[in-house]
Amino acid sequence: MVKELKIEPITRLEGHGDVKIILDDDGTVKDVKLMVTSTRFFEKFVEGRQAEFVPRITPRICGICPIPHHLAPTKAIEAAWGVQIPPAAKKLRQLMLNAKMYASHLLHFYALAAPDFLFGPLAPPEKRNVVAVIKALPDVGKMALEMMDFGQNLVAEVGGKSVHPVTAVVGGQTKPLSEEARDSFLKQAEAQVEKIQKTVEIGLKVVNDYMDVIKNLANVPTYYVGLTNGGVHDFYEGQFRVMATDGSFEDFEPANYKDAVAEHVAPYSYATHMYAKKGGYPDGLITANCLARLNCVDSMATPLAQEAFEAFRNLLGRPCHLQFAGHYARLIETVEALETVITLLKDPEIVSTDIKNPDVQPIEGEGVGMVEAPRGTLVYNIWTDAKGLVKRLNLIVASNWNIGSAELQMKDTAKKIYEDKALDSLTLPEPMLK
Amino acid sequence: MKSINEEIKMENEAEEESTGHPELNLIEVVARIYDF
Repeated sequence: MVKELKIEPITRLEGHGDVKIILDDDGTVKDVKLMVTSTRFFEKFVEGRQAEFVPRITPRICGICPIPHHLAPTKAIEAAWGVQIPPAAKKLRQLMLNAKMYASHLLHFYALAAPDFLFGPLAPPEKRNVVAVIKALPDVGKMALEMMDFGQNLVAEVGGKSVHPVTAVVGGQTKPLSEEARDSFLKQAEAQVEKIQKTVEIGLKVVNDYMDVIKNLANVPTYYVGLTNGGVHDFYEGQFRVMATDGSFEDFEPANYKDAVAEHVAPYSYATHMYAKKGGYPDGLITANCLARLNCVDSMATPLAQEAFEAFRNLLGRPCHLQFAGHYARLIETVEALETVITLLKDPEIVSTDIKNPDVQPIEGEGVGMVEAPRGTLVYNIWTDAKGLVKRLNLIVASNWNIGSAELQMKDTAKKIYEDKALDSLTLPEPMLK
Repeated sequence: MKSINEEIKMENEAEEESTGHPELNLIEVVARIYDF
């Protein structure tokens, strides 16, 4: 008799999803399905509205990564209408985005992922939560909250609101950064360096402890995508790089993303599966997270992150197909986000008041806005009419990139567990916390 | 409005129910890498 196991819902996730594992009589894995169970409709209900409203509406897609959903549509409309923005406006956007990356990556590491690794993935569920981590390690918990608080407060200062920002508009930014705020955040940012170094130490211990799991589970090769600015890691802008499973890659202008990738409609999920046209579906399934970005780039943008990146690449190679190494990659990006925040705050132009190009005229056109969101590349493709009303909007969010890849990795893990009895041979470390 | 403790209890119950088989925990942990 066929047996069906369900994880419903998957917990400690940003979004919503269920997993169904179907086992045959003899215990072989017949299939694994990852289902996104909710619809959002944002692409449809912005149709007919003024395009400038889109960056105020679509950040509601996500309470954790609203900044990318604020910036990508703004960039898309600017591309459609041929609008340039002042240099200081771009720096404010980069500041907001890097502050968000810092807070979001730390949230993922400490609140979502750490309970599994600190208590061990087989610990009882009532143990594996962030409150238990804080109780067991109050100093670390306090530090983690202070770090996230710093990033989120900086987002609020630059973006006007902590969760759903409002200051990016077509043509630039509406709110300059005061010198007082700059001085205050710079002082706080420099105090964060020691905290992020401690976080990296914890992360590296987890990586070393779990190396057997990292190397043996969730290691199916996929394609990878990410923005690079001439090969250098960049969250805000650059070329769209698509890397094949063998590590060869091609760069595309964001506007030409459709030359490189396409969407597959899976009948059992509301989220489409992205794939590389070069590989076809399903061989060209794509991953677009921290690991994907670090596979795509040639170097990081800042010195401490570059140092950590070199150690990462020396240890794991390029491309690294070990998906659990994504946690390691996330910490390297967190270091870069903080260093970038400090560099931008030290830039005298960051307090410039020349942050808005007044020459904004709606025209009929199509534009693509691409930025990196914490969990993967975010694409906004917008079409407007001559009055600036939205004719069509296409979004590619992290879920679209990663659902197919995640399903692939989960199927592989299920096969190893149920068919190869991997739990008998894998070395799981003694939990750091009991 | 639920307290944080009540929210966590609900989350744990959902997780406990969904991971009646401990081996499923590892598969769920794979999903959390992506955090879609």
